[in-house]
Amino acid sequence: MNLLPIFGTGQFPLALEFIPALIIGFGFGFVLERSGFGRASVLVAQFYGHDMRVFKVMFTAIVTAMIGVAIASGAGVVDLKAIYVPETFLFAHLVGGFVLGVGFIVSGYCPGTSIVGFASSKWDGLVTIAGVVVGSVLFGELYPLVKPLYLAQAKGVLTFSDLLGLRFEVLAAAVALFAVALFAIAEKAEGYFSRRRALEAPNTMTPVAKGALGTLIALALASTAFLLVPQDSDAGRRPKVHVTRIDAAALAKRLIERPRGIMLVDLRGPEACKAKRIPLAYCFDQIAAQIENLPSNRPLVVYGHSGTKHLPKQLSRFTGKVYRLDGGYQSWSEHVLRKPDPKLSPADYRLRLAVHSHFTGQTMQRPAPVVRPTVIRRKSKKGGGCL
Amino acid sequence: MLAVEIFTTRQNPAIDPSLAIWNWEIPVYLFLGGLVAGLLVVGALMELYWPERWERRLSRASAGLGIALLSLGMVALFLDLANKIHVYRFYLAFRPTSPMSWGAWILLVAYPAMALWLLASLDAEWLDEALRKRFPWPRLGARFASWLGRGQGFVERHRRRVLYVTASVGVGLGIYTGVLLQTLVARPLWNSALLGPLFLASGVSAGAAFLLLIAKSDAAKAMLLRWDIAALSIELVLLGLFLVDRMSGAQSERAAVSLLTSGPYTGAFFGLVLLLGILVPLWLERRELSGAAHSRFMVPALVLLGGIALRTILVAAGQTSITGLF
Amino acid sequence: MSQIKEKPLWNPYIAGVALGLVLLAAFLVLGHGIGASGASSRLGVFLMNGVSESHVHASQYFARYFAAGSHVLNDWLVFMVIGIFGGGLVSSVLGGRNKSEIVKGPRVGVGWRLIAALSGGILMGFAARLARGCTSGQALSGGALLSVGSWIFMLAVFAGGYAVAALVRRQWQ
Repeated sequence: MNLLPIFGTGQFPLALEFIPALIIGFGFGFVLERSGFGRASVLVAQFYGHDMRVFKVMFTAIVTAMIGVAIASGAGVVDLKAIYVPETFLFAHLVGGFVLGVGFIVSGYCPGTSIVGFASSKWDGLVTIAGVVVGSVLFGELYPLVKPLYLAQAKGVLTFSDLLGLRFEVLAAAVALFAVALFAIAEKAEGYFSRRRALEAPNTMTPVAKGALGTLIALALASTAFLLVPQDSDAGRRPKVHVTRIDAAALAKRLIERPRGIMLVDLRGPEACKAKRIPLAYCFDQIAAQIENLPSNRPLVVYGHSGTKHLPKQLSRFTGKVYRLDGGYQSWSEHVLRKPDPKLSPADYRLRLAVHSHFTGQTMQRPAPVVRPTVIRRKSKKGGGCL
Repeated sequence: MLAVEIFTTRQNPAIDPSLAIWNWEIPVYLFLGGLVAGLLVVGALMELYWPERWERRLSRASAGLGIALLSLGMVALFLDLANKIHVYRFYLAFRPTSPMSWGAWILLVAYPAMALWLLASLDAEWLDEALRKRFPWPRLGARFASWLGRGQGFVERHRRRVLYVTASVGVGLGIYTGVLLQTLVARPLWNSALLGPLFLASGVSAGAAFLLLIAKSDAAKAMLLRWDIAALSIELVLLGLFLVDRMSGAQSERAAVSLLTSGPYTGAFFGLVLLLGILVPLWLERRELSGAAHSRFMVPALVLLGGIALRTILVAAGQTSITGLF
Repeated sequence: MSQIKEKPLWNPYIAGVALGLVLLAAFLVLGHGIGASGASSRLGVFLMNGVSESHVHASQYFARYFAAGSHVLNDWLVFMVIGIFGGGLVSSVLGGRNKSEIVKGPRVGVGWRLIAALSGGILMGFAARLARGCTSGQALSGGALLSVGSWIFMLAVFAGGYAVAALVRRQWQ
């Protein structure tokens, strides 16, 4: 059982993710500023060749994180498949990247560093942020026009491991070696461009830097030792599906909180499923052939008529977490679709009523009007809000 | 337990089933009210007790901006009122048990207090010259000048009294913005006596931060930084007590505070109010006092942002916290 | 108040390792990388929503921000950006680099610089939505996970920057 990642698997309410996001953001902003990225002139120097800080920081960061992930997943601490990988859209990435590069050199920041720029009281950073906001809205407004480009050449989640058929650890080591070679070239280029402009070359390959890069290479090579350990998360090899139970109330709550955070599969057979099913559920016969393509970082919830004892074999090809709805569709309709009994305790009743109205679209019944003494009524009319 | 609560503390959604929904107007009003309260408290007390480390123009700014900002807040409040022409009725009666009535009267006293203070801090010669020479109607100008001159003489004689009244009005205004929320018992997040002092502390920190933008002399800046550090520290303590108070309260109150600690408002509460609104400015101010330099806009901007965020979040979360639903 | 001296920046390789560790922490704790442009986008949608709610909800693109049912700004992306701001602020103050200024070369005026910053920002905002992320979300986070699209994106960013660098040289030197 992998311990990590802690979040992103839908186990925790989304709100709890905000604090670590805040802390990690803090660290990110801190290091970006330490790298000098709160200042446009430092960032754009990359494109004039005499100071390739941006390239060095970015690539070292990528290599470091990559090796970290390789080691953590090789050691079985983290479930690599549960980490969100952006999907690939060839044209959108190509065009978007190019335009962003142009915007970068014109504004002097990228979206993240403009925030750091603003945080260090650089007003051009603030103006850039405003531009990014406007640009995002502009994209939304022009979406019908750019939609073909936005969606063209969709490759789904595609990594170089998939493309080349090599394990993550091997590629991480290769990229690390490649990066160090590029750093050596970058240092030479900096010397050349600095001489041409009669500037002092930055000379950042200090003994400490060399030590750090050497350590990274060593770790990268060491992580390839995990190749000897067979990958147990390989699709198809998993002997049995581990199924956890979930009850209708919990499912309803989750569906309200993050409707796309889980995937639902209806096992009741095509007719029953077509007639009515839990919102957003797939019918099993429609996706039986594609089970292995479902994103494994989202939990899969299956349900039958009432209790389901035997799960279809195809489910074992799903590598993520599988839940089974207790009591099946029957329990769902009893708990969620039927109007709650007013005899329940007020808190329960209120909650059930909210869930019921969310899923059925029936408006909540207002509590019976309260008769109040006229004096109070008049007072409450006086200021509709407050003072 | 639950049954007792329903009948004794009005914490039952059936009693106030639909309070008016407040949008941006109320948080803006509460913030501006708090800010003006802070300007009055800081400005008046500084002039009373530390005049040698104060600038006359800061008093002028406090009074003048106080009038302008409070009026702006009143506009926001007025936009929110359902029955706008009934406003006058607030002044037909004084109900000592109703915070709304208190508020209406505090607002009524605040304006003359600020006006007198403004008059006292205007430069007599400048005022005289401006009215006599630059006023479009010279005779009227001269008459105004002599009236205001007499007014200034009066204020000068009662200067300390005016300042005491102003500071007290500031304290009252600051506390009242919180008490206002507290009295809506059907909203368990607000039903805490700490809300008044909390909003006062937050208002004072905002007022000091605002004056920090205007201050020129190092002595005044240093004093304002101390004010702000004190106010923010007290705010931090009160905020902590507020959370503890809610957490140790009834089930509905615990549920209400979980909106802030592990619910939809968690990120905004910790990020904007606590980190950017209190902790970072406190740290920056302490550094600034010991001589380190940074952009002078940063502290005021953060403190003001934190003040707005605190009220927006408390108002929004409070309205979500209906007993029974959570 | 007295001025303190600007401290030197970190060595880029060391800074890179530190940045990589932050990114790794995001992967291991949050299960996803880092994002910066998403917050700006959400802020834009929030402001638009204030102007015309029906328009935003009818939009094919914006509607997705309301699908989850919670407030547009109530998202980890927004809080991460609040964190980024805080971290940048603390670091710049500690490093003596927090000075109110507009960064530009000596040969352009403030007006031009701000217009350039705004237009560059608009281009980036548009591009970041098109590419589903910016240098943080795509290049760094996706790059470290060896996503093909992210690497294409990263190379394209450098290509775009180098392609027009000569045209805007005046602004910086």
